[in-house]
Amino acid sequence: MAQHPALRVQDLTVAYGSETVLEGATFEVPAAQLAAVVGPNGAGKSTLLRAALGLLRPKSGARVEFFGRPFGEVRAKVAFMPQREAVDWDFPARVIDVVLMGLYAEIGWFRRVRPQHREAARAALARVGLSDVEKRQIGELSGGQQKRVFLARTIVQGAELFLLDEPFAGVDAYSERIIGRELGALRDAGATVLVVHHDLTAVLRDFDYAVLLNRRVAAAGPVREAITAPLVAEAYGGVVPLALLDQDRDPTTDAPQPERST
Amino acid sequence: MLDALAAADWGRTLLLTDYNTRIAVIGAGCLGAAAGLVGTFLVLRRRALMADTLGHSTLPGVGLAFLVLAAFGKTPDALPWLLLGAAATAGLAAWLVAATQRIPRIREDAALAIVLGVLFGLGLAILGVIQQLGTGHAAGLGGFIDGSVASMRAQDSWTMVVLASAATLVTIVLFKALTVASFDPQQARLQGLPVRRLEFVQLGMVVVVTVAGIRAVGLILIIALLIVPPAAARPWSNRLSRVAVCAAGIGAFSGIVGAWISALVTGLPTGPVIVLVAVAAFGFSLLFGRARGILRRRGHAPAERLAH
Repeated sequence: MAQHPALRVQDLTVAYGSETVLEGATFEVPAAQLAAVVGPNGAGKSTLLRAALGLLRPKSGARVEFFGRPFGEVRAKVAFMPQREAVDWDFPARVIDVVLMGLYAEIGWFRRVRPQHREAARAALARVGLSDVEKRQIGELSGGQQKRVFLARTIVQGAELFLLDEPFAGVDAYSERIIGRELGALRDAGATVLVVHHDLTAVLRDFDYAVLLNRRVAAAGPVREAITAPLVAEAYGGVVPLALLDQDRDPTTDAPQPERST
Repeated sequence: MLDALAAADWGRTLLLTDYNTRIAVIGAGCLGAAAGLVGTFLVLRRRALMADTLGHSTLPGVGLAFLVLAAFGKTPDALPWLLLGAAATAGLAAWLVAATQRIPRIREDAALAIVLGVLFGLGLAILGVIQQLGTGHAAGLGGFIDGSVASMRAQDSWTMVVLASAATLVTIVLFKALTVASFDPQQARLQGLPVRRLEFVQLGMVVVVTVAGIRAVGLILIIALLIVPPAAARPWSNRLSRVAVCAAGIGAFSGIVGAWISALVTGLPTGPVIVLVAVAAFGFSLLFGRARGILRRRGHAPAERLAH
């Protein structure tokens, strides 16, 4: 297995109607890396994850492999965490019920939830610091807590590749710290983690690997090679969004347009 | 009104000693339970309007089956054949909704209303033709619109029990799959569930429940029996399994009490009474529900949300 990258994407193109949001994306994510997909708004970051997983239909010719196999053969090894808007938080479910749903495929669709499954769900909730709210209805939680419920549901699946869509978007500092810590722990345990991220500073500080995206893959590689001032400036349309990149900023790329929010 | 209640009949009906009535009331209970269960997932997936369109679309199928049977000289109100016709036009309706939505600028709600109008209108027209033909059995078809246990024979009730039990069983067997498919369809797909086929099964069960309830509740109000018990169950719990059981219970209660009241009082149509009982349960639940009732809200107000 070591010879295969955790994820290999080749020529992935996605269009909504006539608008192409992702064009010929080609990259690899090596195993046991903490990797980020970064890029400006509308770069196709979420689209990339969801199309790779087959949740969106890509144009023909795309080829996506997980550990060298098509997704259908290794689904138990891959876990996905969607954005918060993916579900209705008014749904009649408690925190622990949502985490247990992550285990349903493993439990069996026609079998009962057993005590060991409940224990596994509780352990996952403990990791993300939500033990004391396991019986709350999910809509009663704060945004950061809801993200952590989703993270617990993802962790509990015991996957080898974790794909997370904006786990850090709109969360409080406390949640951000816990989520970051747990993603690092997954990587340290040998799993591969690919995160859609909007904060270049955090990616440079905490991540091993990065895919820089602006409808096309601008760069993919170890974080210091993929996120360089010229590459970022190009991907973000001439605006280097962060003071962090000051050290080697090319003055000719300083464009007068306003900075894009990331 | 009192004249209508012959004292002897009243006593027999009150105690359900009459076999036909007893079976009909039990059947209505099974129907209510099935509708509550199937409806729970319908509400969660926001498919209530789709269910309404499918329900109304059974009418032309029933009418056409009646005409075909009459043309072949068979007993034209043989329920299984009428139900087959109902299922056929409901299926046609589902396909038409999908096809209509492909027309530019026609959204789903409009597509649903268009298809409902076309097929229900067609059904009413066919019903008119049948009544002009004046066959002896045509009177029974009127009961398909607003439901009447009084016109039900024991075999009709048994058909209702079998169909309702089938829908109940399928929902219980698929409970976990339907739960994930309702809460997070993307997650369901990633876990290998055939989400599209599950939705197909779900709408199929709506047709089964509609068809099962056509005699007792009628095809207009069946949608209320699918939607009101789940809405009444929601204030009682934040756990889906309990909401579903509660919805089935409220549905069964409404079916039994409603059918029983309408059997007691001559001239009271069954469907509306069943639905009114369910609506009363809804009002009560809204106020007193243990988890979300207005008067018993124990939940945590947004202001109390933890900071992290």
